[in-house]
Amino acid sequence: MTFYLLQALNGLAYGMLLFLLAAGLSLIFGLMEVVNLAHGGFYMLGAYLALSAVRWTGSFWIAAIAVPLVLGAVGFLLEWEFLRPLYRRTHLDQILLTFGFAFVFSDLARWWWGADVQSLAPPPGLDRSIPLLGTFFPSYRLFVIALGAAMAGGLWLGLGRTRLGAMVRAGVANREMAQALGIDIGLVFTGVFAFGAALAGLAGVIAAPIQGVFPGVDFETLIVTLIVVVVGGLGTLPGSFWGSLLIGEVDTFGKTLVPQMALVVTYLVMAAVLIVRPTGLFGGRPR
Amino acid sequence: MRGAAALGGTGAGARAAWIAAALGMALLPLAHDRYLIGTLTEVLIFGLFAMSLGLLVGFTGLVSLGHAAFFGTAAYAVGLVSTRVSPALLLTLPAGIAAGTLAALVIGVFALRATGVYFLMLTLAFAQMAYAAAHQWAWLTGGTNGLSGIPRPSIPGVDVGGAVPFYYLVLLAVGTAAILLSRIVASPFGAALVGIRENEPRMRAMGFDTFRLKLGAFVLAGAAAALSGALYAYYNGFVSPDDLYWTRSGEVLVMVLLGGAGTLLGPAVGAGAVLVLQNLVSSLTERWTMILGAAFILVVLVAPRGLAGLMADRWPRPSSPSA
Amino acid sequence: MAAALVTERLTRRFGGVLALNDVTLEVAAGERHAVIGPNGAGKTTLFNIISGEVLPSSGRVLLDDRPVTGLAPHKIAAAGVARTFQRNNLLFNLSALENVRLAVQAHTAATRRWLTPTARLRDLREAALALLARVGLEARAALAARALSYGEQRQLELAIALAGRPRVVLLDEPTSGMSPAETAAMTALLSRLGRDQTLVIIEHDMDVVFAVADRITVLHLGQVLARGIPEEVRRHPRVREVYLGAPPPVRP
Repeated sequence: MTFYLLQALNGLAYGMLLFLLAAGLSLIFGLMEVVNLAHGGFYMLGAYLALSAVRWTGSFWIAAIAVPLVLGAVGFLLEWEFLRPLYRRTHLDQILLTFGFAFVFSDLARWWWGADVQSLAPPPGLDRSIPLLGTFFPSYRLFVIALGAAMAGGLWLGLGRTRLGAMVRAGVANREMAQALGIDIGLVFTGVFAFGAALAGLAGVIAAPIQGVFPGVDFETLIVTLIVVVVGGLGTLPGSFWGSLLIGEVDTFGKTLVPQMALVVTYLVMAAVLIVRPTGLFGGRPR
Repeated sequence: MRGAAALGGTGAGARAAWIAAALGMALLPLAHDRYLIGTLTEVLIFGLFAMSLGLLVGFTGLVSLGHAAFFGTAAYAVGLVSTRVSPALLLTLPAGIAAGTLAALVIGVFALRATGVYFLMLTLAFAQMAYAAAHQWAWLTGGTNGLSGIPRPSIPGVDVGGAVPFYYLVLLAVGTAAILLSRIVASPFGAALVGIRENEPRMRAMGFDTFRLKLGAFVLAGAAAALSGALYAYYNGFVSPDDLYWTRSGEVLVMVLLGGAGTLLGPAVGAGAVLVLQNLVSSLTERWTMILGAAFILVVLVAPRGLAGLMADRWPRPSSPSA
Repeated sequence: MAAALVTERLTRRFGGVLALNDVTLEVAAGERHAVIGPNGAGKTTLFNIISGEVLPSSGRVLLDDRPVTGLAPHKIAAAGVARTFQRNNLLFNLSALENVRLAVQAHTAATRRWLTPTARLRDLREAALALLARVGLEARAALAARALSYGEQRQLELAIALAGRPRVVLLDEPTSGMSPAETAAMTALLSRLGRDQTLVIIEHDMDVVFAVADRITVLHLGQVLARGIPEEVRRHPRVREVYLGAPPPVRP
């Protein structure tokens, strides 16, 4: 029993990481109808930059704050310089553009940080296991769960209760109407894209002590995130949240209970959801 | 009109281009340059791969980000049968095509339930599943090391071991497939695919079973991609998970977009351009992936209709009467 | 007379809104039936349910006494129901001829011939040209649909709907956005259509309705308010009150 509870906690930690990724991807899609295929690249760069930042500054916490800011800036530039000129074209062109950036980020990381698997130590104070349920559990993972839950709550409140959130929601619901109300929708796009990039970068920093970082982690992560949003429903925050937790648990239990079939389990869940609800558990009508 | 030209594709200009390409491809090996022959063989193989994706992207309006799944699956099937059973062409080639086509059918049934970005994400996800499977099931696929030592196919009475005979085998296979694809595109089936690209709900209201048509296109494209993957396995003598990886899918998509979707020849020309570029820069830098990414970004920003579109803008054709 | 099309107690809710409420409609074979009513009366929802694009919350649709409710749109189209759309819905980048040829093709086995050049199937082309001639577009066959005038696009919609000799044709405001001359031409065209086709037509222009329709059903707030021959409907007090008496509906 304890074993299952601990695995459930592991799954929860992984699910929270996925949520940080899926929330950004989903928000960007809900607003701009663009699936950002460079999202995994932001995550990977977040993890690598954290590695370098810890090497330079010696502090995990400085990295955890600075790296998302850097990636937010990268996201800002990408949206401002490259996506913006494509507003009048199809969303497909914008998606293909992000695919091009996925290539560039992937190769950039291999060039700069090499091809080896690297890992990051958890910050002091969170680097040991604490007694839990009669055994020991890594405190860092509890921290990840708490952080994810805090971010989810913050996002929920931020979107629902603030002026900024109202602007974003207006943009998601009806772009023309939002513009008619005097909202600079272009600025909202840029802001949300940058924010999504920063969230993905934060996920990379937070994940580095658990999962390590290596070439190819960008697409591995992107694919799991895509599965999350397909399962939960694109463009909805609750969909991202419950989809993340579901896939986090499914993946974790799949790997421990049926290791040979671990790969297939997640896809089976996705296929099942698609058959029953092609637009995801929380998705509305197809666009 | 783009649609009118795409529907027929049988204009005098297109025919001349096809004939010139065929003649050139048939005569060039007489130059007896091993390097040239190798490059041409690759251009043919990837030209077919790109044409097969072009059938989906340019004609049906289905942008697949996982086309390498069929290419790679076929290459693995050829590798397994060649090394464990027999290198007979009549055994390995059908095995490769069958494996790739079956993969297309299974993935198509799921991915085509969705539309738009969902379709795009699902093709990517399923292809990555094939990649991960090739990685993990090492007892079958050799894992990261892949399968090596794949021989050239054996054909009773003919030796295609040499570069030139093998080139002509590839030319025959790719030529046959290209003719079939051009017939498909010009057929009523092809016209229905273009209709789906233009306005799928309207086609449904007219009485077309658009799901089945799209699945048909997806499976045909998968079969053609499988043929190219099988030829690639013979040519390269080696298959690895990289042949199923998203970079491979992205590479072929760049070929299609660079050449110009909406015609069959465009993607093939795009394949040639990408391979020549790759050969040119490979001696200078290892950053090929980054160059591919830059090519993606440039094509999307500067030439969304590809080289064919650029040419059409420079030398506009007089509008032809409808096909 | 046998009923070609029957809707039995159709109800459709969108969220909390009752778009259609218990609508029963019987259209005899060969009849020209107009459905009128103010905007928001549920007319287009009715069409969307008949053509299979929207599922009813309850009730069913019978085509020649066979239930077709729940069938996919393409199956209902294949069963003999064709429709036009309130807003022109065409393959805009393809020529007028190609639009109609595909519509003809949809009702043949030609789509399964994936190695025969379309150019060789002269039947398709000739049937399409004949349909274009019927709606007066023969001279525009080679033009892309997007290059046609709005009125011509509506004519093309009709040609597409008539391809494949449907049992029932649903016309959603065939004259909306047309000039008076175009409207007159379309009215004449509709009146000339053979009686082998059953016509259900949504229309705001009362002159067109009274010129074309054998019988009229008035929808109001999702419910049948009145039905009968044009004269009865014209005299119906409730209809005069909510519809005919009201200021004429604004047309785009």
